[in-house]
Amino acid sequence: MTDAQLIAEVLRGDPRAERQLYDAHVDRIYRLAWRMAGDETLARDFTQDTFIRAFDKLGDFRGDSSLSTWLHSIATSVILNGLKKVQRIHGREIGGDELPEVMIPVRDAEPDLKLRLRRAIEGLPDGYRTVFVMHDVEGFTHEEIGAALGIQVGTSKAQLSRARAKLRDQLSDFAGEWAS
Amino acid sequence: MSDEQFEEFLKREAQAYNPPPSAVPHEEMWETIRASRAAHAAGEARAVTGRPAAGAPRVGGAMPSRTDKPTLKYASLIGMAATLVLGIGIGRYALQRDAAVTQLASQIESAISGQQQPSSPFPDKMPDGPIGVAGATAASLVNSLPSGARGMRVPTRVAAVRTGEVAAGEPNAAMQIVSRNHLSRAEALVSVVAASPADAAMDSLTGRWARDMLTNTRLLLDSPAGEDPVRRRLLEDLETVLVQLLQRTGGAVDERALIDRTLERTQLLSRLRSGAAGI
Repeated sequence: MTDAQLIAEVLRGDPRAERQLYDAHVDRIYRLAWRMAGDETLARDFTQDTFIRAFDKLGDFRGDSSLSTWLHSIATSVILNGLKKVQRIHGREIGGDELPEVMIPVRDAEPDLKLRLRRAIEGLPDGYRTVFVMHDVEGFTHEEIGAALGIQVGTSKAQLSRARAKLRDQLSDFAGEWAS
Repeated sequence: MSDEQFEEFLKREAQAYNPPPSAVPHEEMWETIRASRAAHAAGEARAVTGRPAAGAPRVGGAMPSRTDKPTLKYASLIGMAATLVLGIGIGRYALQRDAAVTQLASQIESAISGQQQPSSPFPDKMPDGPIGVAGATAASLVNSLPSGARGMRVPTRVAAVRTGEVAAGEPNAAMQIVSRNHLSRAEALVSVVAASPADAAMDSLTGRWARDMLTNTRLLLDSPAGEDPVRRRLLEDLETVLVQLLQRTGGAVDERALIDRTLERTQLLSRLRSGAAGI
């Protein structure tokens, strides 16, 4: 069944088609939500909210992009907005002064390269981190990222390039261990 | 340590970043989605009829209906305002897009007509400062090129295009002229950037020049000129550098180093020269 046929069936109210659409896309969206949130509850919430919104708006889908791209554009919007809300709440709870800590390289205190890499990724600005996770971790193409985030392919490439440069700077004191 | 080695390291090690579990809770999430949609549908039916929908399943009240909110009565007003704002936004976008298309079209026209020199790729007055000086130098270099190299005139094609004698596939000739012209201008801009001191901030005129170049690059990518895979790759690399250039904050040296690395890795300048020369 093509995307267009599946959508037509969903819009007619066929519950099997709804489930089929969900099954076809849920894994990739859940993985992305997990990667971005790093938390099971948030990953579930973001995935559920993505599909709830998608089913609500399916009638507006014009087929300018693939269904997968359209779903991922909803997913990235849900995830990024959701993470902003979480950060705001978290910032209020612990106080804003503690947040920049992840940006500070502390060679002696954090000898583990993987932990440092994780912290460096966490410290990336949202836009850079999203593109980095989608491309280098989840294997999305720049075209898919551009369509999902509503940015140009060149912008996606530039964001990735900047993200990598920032990570390289953050991990500069581990330079000898990269190739090992 | 090279960029390639670091990118390989990143791709390898970043897999350990927030690794998702192998089992996805399909059923639990599906049940929540279904219940939420049912609650929403029931809420909508109640808003219309004033009572719950006959067939709507009852869902334990976990999801408060949007229609219960007092803001509902303002929904139509909010909707109209949103539509108005959206309309204005689309209108502005369309005007900008039209302006860019018109500019590109005028380039095509001037290249095809062959009667007037193409407009200079540089602003009338080059900006002051190191980039401005380098820009003026580059401008004079480009202006000293033979007119055929600058204007990319192809006389045998021009007459055919002007008189409408071109065959169906031949508009590509006009596109080639435009893209070569564009690559020539891009080469000038990239040369200016590469020759400027690492800590020199981009002034507003050069910024406008780069923005125009980015707009035209994207238009070319979406045009038949972008269908050729080699040229497409070149335009995409150019687009990346232009975006990096425009996103650079002031005279940030590290961001300039990033641009230089991209230029070196992609060999952009030499490829632009080859592309502009039609090699």
